Amino acid sequence: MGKKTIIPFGPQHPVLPEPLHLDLVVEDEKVVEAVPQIGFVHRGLEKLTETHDYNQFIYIAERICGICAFGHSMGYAETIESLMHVEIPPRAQYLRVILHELSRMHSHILWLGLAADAFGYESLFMHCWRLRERILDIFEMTTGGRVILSAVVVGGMVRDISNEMLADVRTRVQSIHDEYQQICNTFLNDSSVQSRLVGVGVIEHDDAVSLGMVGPFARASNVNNDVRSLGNGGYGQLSDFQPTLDSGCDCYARVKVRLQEVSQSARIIDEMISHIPDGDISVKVKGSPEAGAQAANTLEQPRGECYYYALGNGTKYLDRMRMRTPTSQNLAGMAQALAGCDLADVNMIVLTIDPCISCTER
Amino acid sequence: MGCFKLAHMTLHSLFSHPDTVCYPAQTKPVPSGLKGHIVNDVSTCIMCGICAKTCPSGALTVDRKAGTWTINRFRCVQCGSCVRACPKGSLSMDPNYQKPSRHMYDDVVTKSIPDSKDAKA
Amino acid sequence: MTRSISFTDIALDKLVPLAQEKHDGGWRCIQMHCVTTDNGIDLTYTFDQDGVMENYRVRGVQESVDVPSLQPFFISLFPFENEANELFGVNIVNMKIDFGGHLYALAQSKPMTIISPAQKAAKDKAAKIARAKAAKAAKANISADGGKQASSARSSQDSANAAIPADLQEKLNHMSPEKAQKVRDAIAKRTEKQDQHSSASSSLQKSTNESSKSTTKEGK
Repeated sequence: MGKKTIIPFGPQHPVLPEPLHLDLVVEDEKVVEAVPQIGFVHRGLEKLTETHDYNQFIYIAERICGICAFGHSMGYAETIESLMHVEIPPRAQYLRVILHELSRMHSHILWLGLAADAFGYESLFMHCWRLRERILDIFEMTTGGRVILSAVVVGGMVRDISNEMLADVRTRVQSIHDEYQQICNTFLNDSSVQSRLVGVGVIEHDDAVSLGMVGPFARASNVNNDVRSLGNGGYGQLSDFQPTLDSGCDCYARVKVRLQEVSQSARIIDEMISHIPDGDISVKVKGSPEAGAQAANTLEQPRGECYYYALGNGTKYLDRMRMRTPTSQNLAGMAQALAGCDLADVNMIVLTIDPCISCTER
Repeated sequence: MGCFKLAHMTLHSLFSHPDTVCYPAQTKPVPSGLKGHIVNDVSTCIMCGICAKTCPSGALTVDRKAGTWTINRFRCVQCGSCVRACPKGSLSMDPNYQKPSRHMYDDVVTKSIPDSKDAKA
Repeated sequence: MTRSISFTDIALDKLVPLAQEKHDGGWRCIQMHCVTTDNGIDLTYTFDQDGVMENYRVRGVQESVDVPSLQPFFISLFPFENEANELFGVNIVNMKIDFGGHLYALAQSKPMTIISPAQKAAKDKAAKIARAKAAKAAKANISADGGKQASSARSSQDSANAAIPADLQEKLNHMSPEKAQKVRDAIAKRTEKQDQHSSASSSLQKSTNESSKSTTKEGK
């Protein structure tokens, strides 16, 4: 019977993209229990609805997180449009889906780089991020920003992307995807990578359901919960959408699900660009939400399902704006996966939930 | 199933052009769609102050009496709300990268507004 | 799968039976959040299954009331219940994972329950305007058969609205609610006076032009 020690992990740690503190109760290199603690990035952003009206708040919603920035602005805009009963033009819906899928590609490639860094493969990390730079160049060319795009307003989009530019985007995405195949090959078939990923951090299907996990973290345990299947907004125009599922239940399966989702996003972008209709990109939104009006909305962000809720009170300031992000649902799953693992695997398991702690704490 | 599957990519990047530029000796070519920074064409500006009210970060100050339009570029988030809200279209975005600065400062543009009685006469 | 969203109000004592029912039926609990209102805190719980999303709201929970935790059924609610406890002061009991009020290191306790004076003033003004509108509509409906008062109120309202040109309307939308209401009241009063003094439409046209010019100066 070994002695139990408590090793603190974080909040400053090279492998963590955002501050998270874990107290690892360790017995002879095996983690017995992990107690998470968050709260290092709490900025109280939801209180800013008091001083910023519903048009200004979208810029705050974007800045909750750098990686999921576009997702938050799109989800917020959709919620307010539903609150005020505004229909946006079809071209704006298509453009939003195209930018959101590009955002998903960039987020997953960023995560793949971090995962490679977590088990020590630095050169793979750098190649992933070099590839991601090309997606950020696409963002800069189309919307003017690299990370915070500010491309969405309540009522549609800020500026149009011309059809010539969309054709250019399509060729670029194709060439990024061709180079991406080599990264896929390394993650899936390299034996040194496999020895770090296979059989690590297993969460069975039933546990995944009872813990309420969302996103690729849950889809790797064969839980079908992709919000894009509901066909909301531009996603309803897709000819055929099947969520990416895998029944491996371990870290290798989660890496595989995200790898396949990047390819799926490239296909979605291709299809959306081929079928985008011409027309306006925004409608003018006047007035304020009615008093007591409520609206709720979900969106499939790269990390999982994100829930938005808005409550109006008759003025242009919202009474309440709630953004529930996927990582807060996955924290319980992470604590479960950490119980019983090796100390060396802690990095990998913490990273496989794709932690976006700034989103969790707002 | 062997190791070092990244061989092809590594060898390719050994012999190809680097993705980085030697800043500040070289600068990155400015993409066409860049947002850039806010510029005010003060000859058409009427000092109404709508831009200052619309700004989500409070970067703009308009003093109608003194005839000044001030922007704190360090607070500006380049969202473009002021450009869209301006009733006279005097605000626009100049798509160029800014140079880094050692001090924080406010950009002030002054316009003398003729007295309304004189204008009528 | 198609999506449907619903909002329902329930009582606090029905919360645990609802959670039991949803848990047994295989629903997922998506989230839980709080809203500060004048009557206490409103808690909203959201459940989802196959695209059907149901939001249940418990109204007006006071700090002294014990709210039963749903963590025994849905452990993934622990961040939200701890957050509700710290930011809103809701007293949730029987939590499985309880941070004891130390989830966030806050400088001020229950920060989300503090309403700034500016927002309170804006809300009160909006409520006043809504009440005045409702009262006017009720009056107009009651005396729809006759009554000079109702018809003059309606006509002054109509002419007041017609007296506001489109560009001034645009400016009023950008103004703060208090100022916009002052401008609208001034125009309404002016046009009502003109209605009473003259009957010729040409003189009405002249005076509305004058009033819009002067209020344009005032508005800027």
